[in-house]
Amino acid sequence: MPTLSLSNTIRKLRFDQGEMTQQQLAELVGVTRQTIVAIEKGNYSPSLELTFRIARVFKLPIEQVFSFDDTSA
Amino acid sequence: MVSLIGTLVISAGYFATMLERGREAGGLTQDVRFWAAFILILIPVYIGFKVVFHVVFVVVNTVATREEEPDITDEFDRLVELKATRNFYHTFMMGFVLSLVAVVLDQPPYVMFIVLIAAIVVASTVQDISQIYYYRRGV
Repeated sequence: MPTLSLSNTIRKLRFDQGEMTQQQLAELVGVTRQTIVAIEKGNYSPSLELTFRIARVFKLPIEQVFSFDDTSA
Repeated sequence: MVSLIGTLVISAGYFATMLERGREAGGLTQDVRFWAAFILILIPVYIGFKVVFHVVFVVVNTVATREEEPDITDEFDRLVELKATRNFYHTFMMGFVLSLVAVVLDQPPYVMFIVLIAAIVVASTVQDISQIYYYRRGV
C-alpha cells in the first residue's frame, strides 16, 4: 500500500532567514504558532493557500519548501 | 486540557447538586419532568461554566506566562474542532441508542435519562480528549 507524506524544510529556511521564530512566521502567514509547529513536525498538511503563503515568505517556489514523497510500503 | 478539566469539574459539581436534590425529593424519582429539567438545566449551566473557566484560564495564563492567547482561529484549529465535534456526535449517538435499548428492556424512565446524561458527559470528555490528541499527534 502506498504511503504518502508531505515533508518540508521550513525549520531550515527559518534558520537561514536570520533565525526567524515560529511566532514570526505564524504572524506573517496569518496562522497560530501551534499550526506552524504541527506543519514543521509533519503532523499537519497545510492547505494549498497556506502552502503558497509560506513559500512566499521565503521567496521560494513551493517545491523548495515542500516535497511530496510517494513511497510504497 | 483546561476544557477537559472544566468538563469533569462542572459535571461532578452539577451531578452532586442535582442528585442531592433528587434524594431530598425521595430517591431516584420516576418523575419524567425532574429528569427532563435535569438535562435542560445542564446545557446552559455547562456552557456558562465552560465560558467562565476559559476566561479565567486565559487571564491566569496571560498573567503567568505574559503570552497572549492567539485571537485567530486558523485552518488547523477548525479541522481539529471539526474532528473533535464529529467524535462527540458519534459518542453521543451510541449513548442515545443505549438509552433506547434501556426503554425496550422495560427499564424505568430514569434509567433512560441517566444513560442520556452519561452520554452527554462522556461525549464531552471524548471531544476534549480528541482535541488534545489531534493537537499533539496531528490530523
